Amino acid sequence: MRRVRRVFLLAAIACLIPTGISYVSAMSEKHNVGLGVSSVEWLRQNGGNSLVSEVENWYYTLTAPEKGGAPLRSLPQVGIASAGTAPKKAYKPPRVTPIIHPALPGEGVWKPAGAGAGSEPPVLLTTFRSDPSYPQFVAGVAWIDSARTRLKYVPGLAEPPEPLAHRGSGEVPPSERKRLVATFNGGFPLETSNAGLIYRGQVKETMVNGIATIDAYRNGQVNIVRWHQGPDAPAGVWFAKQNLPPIIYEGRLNPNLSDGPEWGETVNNAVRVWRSGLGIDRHGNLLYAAANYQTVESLATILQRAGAIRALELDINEDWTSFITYRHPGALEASNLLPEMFRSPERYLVPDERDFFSVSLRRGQHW
Amino acid sequence: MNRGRRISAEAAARRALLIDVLCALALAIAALTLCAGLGIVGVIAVLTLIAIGLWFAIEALINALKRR
Repeated sequence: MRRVRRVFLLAAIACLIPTGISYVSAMSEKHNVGLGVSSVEWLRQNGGNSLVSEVENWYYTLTAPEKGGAPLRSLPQVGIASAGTAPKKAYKPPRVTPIIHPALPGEGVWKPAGAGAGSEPPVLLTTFRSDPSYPQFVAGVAWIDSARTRLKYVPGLAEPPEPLAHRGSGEVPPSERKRLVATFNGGFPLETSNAGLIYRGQVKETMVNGIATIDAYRNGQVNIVRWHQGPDAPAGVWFAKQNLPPIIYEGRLNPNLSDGPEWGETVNNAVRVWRSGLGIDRHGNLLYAAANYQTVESLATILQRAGAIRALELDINEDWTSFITYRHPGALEASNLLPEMFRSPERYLVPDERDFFSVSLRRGQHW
Repeated sequence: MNRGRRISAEAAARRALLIDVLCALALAIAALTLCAGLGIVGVIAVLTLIAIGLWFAIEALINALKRR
């Protein structure tokens, strides 16, 4: 028996040599997340994705919030107080109708994200309580004027893992910060989303039909579609980022928001965690939503209530969910959409592992 | 008649160690080849080390209690 023990001891030590080299090498790279998160990411990337997801499912199910609780007396302050006067031509989204009554002051009311945004603020923010069964949960939503802004896909240091000729430094380049109005998290890592990516007009990961796609053209036009153009990059597409099936399509929630392999190798759809999503309204403007303790269905309901007619889920968990606005030109006074968002508002002004999106004023548009 | 060569206890121990090392290497190579990735191999290896550590600790405790 002792010899069996010795064999297993030696085998374990032998296995730990290449594993340790890989782990130490990965941890030695530049990170802006803690050792714990980096270790979990390393485990995910090295065959442990199912194991991590199982542990996460188990943990989040055990720590699931209880229904009810004391009602909130106020909502977190987002944006700035003065919205200016909108000229008749400028479209502004209607207030998000509160679900819980009586409504709290400012609930569902859009406020500009930037100071001095004038009468046509490019980004509006609001918060509202999204679920009567959980009256303490607050959802944050941002509306992005597609006519005044340009969406850019920014690769992270490690995601996407494919070799890129123009990877950049995983942050918003200093030269682009003068016009920067917002940044927000990308989707799941490609490895876990089974989805495709087009970057700078070239396919970096084969596009998959039926998957929800943020589709941006060379002229700056952006859309959210269910991809049906095959594996290659269509002419005119500058970037296309896919992530799971659509959660809202043509105004309706996806009837199959329950679990299945099509939702990626991650925590169950019904598990309540930080979740984020991106939608588009019927005027072609983008809507970003994020909140803690959301299922995929409740996230879709938030986006639908805010006016999204098509939407996809973006990244999840507190470590990866960020929506950041900048009050002044030069990416000054960065602030998170919700105060309880875990990551620093400076997140995308320093190198980040994950890919993300930046929103900048178009040429000719001014603060 | 072919009689087996007698070897010392130390030599037998060294031979056993060599066989065990070869078995361990074969086991490690099989694990590294068959598992989904280094992460899973690492987790299993760490759990194995913890289990063997506990085994040693319990054995030592039992021996200590017996000596009393």
